[in-house]
Amino acid sequence: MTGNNPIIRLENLVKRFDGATVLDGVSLDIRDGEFLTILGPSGCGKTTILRIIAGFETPDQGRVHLDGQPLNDLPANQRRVNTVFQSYALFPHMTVRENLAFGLKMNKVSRREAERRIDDALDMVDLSHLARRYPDRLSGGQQQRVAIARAVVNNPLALLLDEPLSALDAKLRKRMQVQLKHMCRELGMTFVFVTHDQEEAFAMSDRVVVMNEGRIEQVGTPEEVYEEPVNMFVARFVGETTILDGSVVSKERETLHAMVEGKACELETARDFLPGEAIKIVLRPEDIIVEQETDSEHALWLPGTVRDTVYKGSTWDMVIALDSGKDVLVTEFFNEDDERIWHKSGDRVMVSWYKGWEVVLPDEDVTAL
Amino acid sequence: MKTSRLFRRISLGSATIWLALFVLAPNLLILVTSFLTRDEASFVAPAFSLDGYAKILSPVFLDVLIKSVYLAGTATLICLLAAYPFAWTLARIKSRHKGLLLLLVMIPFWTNSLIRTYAMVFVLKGKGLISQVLTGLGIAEHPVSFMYTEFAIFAGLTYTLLPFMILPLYSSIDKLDESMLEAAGDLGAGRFKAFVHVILPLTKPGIIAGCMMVFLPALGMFYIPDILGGGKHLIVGNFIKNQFLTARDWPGGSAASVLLTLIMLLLMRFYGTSSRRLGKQGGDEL
Repeated sequence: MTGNNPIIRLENLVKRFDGATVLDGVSLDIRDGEFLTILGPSGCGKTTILRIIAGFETPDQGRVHLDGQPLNDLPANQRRVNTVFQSYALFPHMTVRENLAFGLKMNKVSRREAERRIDDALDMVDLSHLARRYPDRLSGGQQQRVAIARAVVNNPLALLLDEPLSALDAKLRKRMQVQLKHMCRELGMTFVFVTHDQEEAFAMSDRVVVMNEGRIEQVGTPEEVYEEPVNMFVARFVGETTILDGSVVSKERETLHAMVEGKACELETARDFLPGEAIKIVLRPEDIIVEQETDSEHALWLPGTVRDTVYKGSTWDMVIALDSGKDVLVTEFFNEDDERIWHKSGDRVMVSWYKGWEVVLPDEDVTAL
Repeated sequence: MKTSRLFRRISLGSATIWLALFVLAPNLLILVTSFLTRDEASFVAPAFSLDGYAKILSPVFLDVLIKSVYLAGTATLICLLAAYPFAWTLARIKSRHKGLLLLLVMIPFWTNSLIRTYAMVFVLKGKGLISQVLTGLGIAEHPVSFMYTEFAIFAGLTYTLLPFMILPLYSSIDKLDESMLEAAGDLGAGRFKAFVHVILPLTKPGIIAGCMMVFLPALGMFYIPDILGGGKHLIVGNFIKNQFLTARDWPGGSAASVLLTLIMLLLMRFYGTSSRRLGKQGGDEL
């Protein structure tokens, strides 16, 4: 079902509210059948994108195409997309079944066909036994499933989900994430999901769009976004990071000779840098190696003191205060055969990282000046 | 603890005494009077009789009743049609002047409605405002009077009672969640269908409350048909007034009052059950 032709194409969308620019030239191709998540802090414009696709907002500039057709002048009720609202927006004067039937009735689906599709949708979200209830007699999780079923039952080309899990408790949320992912696969339907929760985005998506201040910072698979962030914003926003300062000495091919935290070392990067340029080295907690003493002269070993340790069941987390003043977050995975020493708070250690796992980015704070 | 109980007793007690003295007692007096005998000298004689009720079963009174329902009902409908778009705009408007607009709806209340009804005369009469505008614009050749017509009564009733329709409508439209409209649109409903299937049912409590608050007072507003309708169009209120002040038939007037009170109680009862059922009724249609 998953094809490479875009089901939704956004071209250079610009939207302003009261003089504030909410979307600043957003272009994006959403592939047929994919689970795409738009991720960003609140106010970054991610919900506005969804509302423009749904037809609740009109872009000041730019175009929206659905299945090859221009959408700009089509009112919301004629677009073959459906929305799951953050507040669910179930009709309180209709039963669960009537809520599901509403869209089908509006689109003049025959009664028999409607009955069958409603039964299927209710079955899918496991709510057949509550079909005659009114929304105010349902729990938050049940209302949420009704909202999803009410949208899905219309068989839209794309399902738009506006932070639909934000009101649920953590456990239910995890379950719904798995369910939504399954639904996307089973129905072969395109899901466009908006969230500010990075873990949620990674758990479900085929591709993640990271947004900030009305612009798309990066589009890619969760792995790409996590392991190869294109700039400091993405690196900081997605996952835990340790960021070291450095400057470029010279570059040959993919090897960068640089000074990092005052020590000379070699880094790997495909990016181009000029000698003397200020750089940031982004490390994930699992990239980092901690040893009590070192013999190697080649790798960059930074001395530090273990400040905190957190036992998390499957991992052992540490915060190490480097002598240069930075804090380093470390995650070590348990290996029962391993006879390594687990460090304790107060231990003196040497810190480095697995060669090639680092991400080197230009120092934007300096280049911006 | 003790003072709060004392405060509660005083506040509840004074309200109870007030209601007993000025609502319950007069109504009981009217109820009693309706079963007494008419007396020329002292208005009523303390002897049981059903003459009062016989009077309100007469064709004369039934005519008045039907006419009243027609006048009050039409005025209610006009109020509803005029107030809904207004209340909608007021509730949806994103303006700092929202409060001011609401205030403008209330300001006429500060003037006695009898005086405002006399002011209507100067708008509707032959040399009045409307007539002058029409002749001035050349639409009418001769001055036109709207006085003593049904139109004048509707204009008067609508003008006086419109705020009672606007306010409950405003409060129920204001409560309507914007996302309901978006959800209706998202699911394929055009403006009209969204209105019929979502907005109308969700604002029903406001519609019913507004209709009751216009229809019930309209039945009894005797001075508007008197002043603007020239007494040609009697409503229940006029009938009651006439029984007491002109025909001097207190039991008859009382019986008509009792009937009016009963109608009001029934309608309020209907409103109570219908608003409680909204959103919770058990239905099994598709």
